[in-house]
Amino acid sequence: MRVRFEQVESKEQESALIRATEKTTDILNAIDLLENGSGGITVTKDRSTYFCKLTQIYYAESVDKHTYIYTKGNCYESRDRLYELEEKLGIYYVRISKSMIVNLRKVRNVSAEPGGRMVAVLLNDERVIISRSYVKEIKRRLGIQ
Amino acid sequence: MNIVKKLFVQSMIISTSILFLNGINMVIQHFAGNDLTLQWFHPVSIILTAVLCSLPTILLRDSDQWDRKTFWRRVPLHCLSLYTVVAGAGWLFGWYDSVESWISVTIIFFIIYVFVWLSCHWLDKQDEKKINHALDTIRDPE
Repeated sequence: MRVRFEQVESKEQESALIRATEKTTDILNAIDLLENGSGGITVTKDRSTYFCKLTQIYYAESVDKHTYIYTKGNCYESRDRLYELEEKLGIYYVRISKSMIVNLRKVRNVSAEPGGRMVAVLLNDERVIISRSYVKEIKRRLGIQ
Repeated sequence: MNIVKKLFVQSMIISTSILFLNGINMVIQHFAGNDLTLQWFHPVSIILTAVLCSLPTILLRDSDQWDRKTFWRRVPLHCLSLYTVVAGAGWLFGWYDSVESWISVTIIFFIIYVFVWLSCHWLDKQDEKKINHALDTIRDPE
């Protein structure tokens, strides 16, 4: 693919246009990188503040109006509400139930259960439940028709 | 979806399906030389049955959040309540002209019920395959 770079004068003028025949995984990755960078979010644990890279996040869960961020071996708290995180995180961070967002890059596999829900096994062997009503959005994010 | 809206939509689908199947059956019977006629209460009874058939759906509320144990406890209950409505409506509105026709409706009911669940699960399995295939291409290294 030909890539053209054009310098602009201000941040507000920055934009990217990708012209392609279809939304392949590479293009989705590029969109994710352009929209969210390789950034992170500020989280807290035991009154200390940390910077958590987005790539480290496995899933986020809301419990009793508190938002928790889970990485491979740690659990942090975030000030953001779940819907705010949904906007901040990239396209591969998708809502799987009313109280949970999962990083699709950290999902080893999913399996359908009777009744329409799915169980996702994460790379750290944790299992999370995907409600049926969110499967459509997951498929859309993964570029499945 | 709001439960009232869900029940209404289901009632519409069920009554339309019964009327459609009845219509097809009447056309076939006509060309086979047996003209069937509907009685004055048949259309109303179909609509009433459809409304009653939609009620057991309440038992399946939030079914996508059930664990396997809850699923296997609730689904037979749903199946039996639905069958009670179908058998009861049939008896009340005189749809069965003999014990044999009641038995055949009973057998067809259970076949359709199992078929619908199996079809839904098969469709979910197709989604599972597609999602797993797509996940393979984006997964972070372990």
